[in-house]
Amino acid sequence: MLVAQQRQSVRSSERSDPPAGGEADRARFEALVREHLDSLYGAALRLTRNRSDAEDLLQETLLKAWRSFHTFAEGTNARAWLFRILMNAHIDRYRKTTREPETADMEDVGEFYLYNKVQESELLRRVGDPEKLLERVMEHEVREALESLPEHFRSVVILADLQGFSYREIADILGIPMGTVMSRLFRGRRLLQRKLWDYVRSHHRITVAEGAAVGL
Amino acid sequence: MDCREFEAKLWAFLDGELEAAVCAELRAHLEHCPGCLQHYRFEDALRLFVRRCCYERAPQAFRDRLVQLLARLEE
Repeated sequence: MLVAQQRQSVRSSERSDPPAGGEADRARFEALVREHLDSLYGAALRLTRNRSDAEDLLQETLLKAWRSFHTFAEGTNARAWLFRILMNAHIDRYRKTTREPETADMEDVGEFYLYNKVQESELLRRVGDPEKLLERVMEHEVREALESLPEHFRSVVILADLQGFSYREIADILGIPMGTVMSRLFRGRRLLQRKLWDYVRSHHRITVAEGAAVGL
Repeated sequence: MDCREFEAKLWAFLDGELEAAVCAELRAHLEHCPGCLQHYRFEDALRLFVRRCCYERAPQAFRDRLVQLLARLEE
């Protein structure tokens, strides 16, 4: 959002829709923002995949949250409320900028578990412990792997695995049935694990000769 | 419960989404199945690893901008 637009939207919110009012409300809102800012920021970054879009998305989210703060009932789940506003704003933006359907959704990932791949591979004999294998994956690769997931799998994985929301909370945040949450989450995790497996195998961590010897 | 059933329920188990009775069955299976115990530990470690890699605090410059934005709301 441009600064000018941002000012305008702030002004228009002041004009047309004065929030519940009072210093107490503003203080409560600011405290809420402070408490949840880092987790909102982390999620926005993985959703938009770049810093400036994430910051725009987050500003928009907080303006929207402030405008509807009077509808927020004290004592209810504030984090879920903020994430619902974040996800709605993200989905609106995403639909505006993306035209093609994501074909990767149709990919069959079957029952893919990274763990089983590790078990079956020669790699395990060299690293000893499957968890040691994680040390071979770089942090930026994990972020890339997550960001490579099709949008609606990525959203659910972010909410569950990064933010620790329950299936019920995710269903409420995204306005989808619990069964859909579970199928997207499990499929998203399989896609993520397959990507991580690709990283483990590549980048010289397994030499060509080693790979050929075990049929990779 | 066999290993296939365990594997099918593993993620929901780690997510804390299963009923107490089902959790007890899974725990009983874990007690005598080292393979599934290793898989369970791996999934748990993987999730923490992903979470750690993706964690990022809001940068100070952005925090400062937000403070200004929130102050504007008060005008």
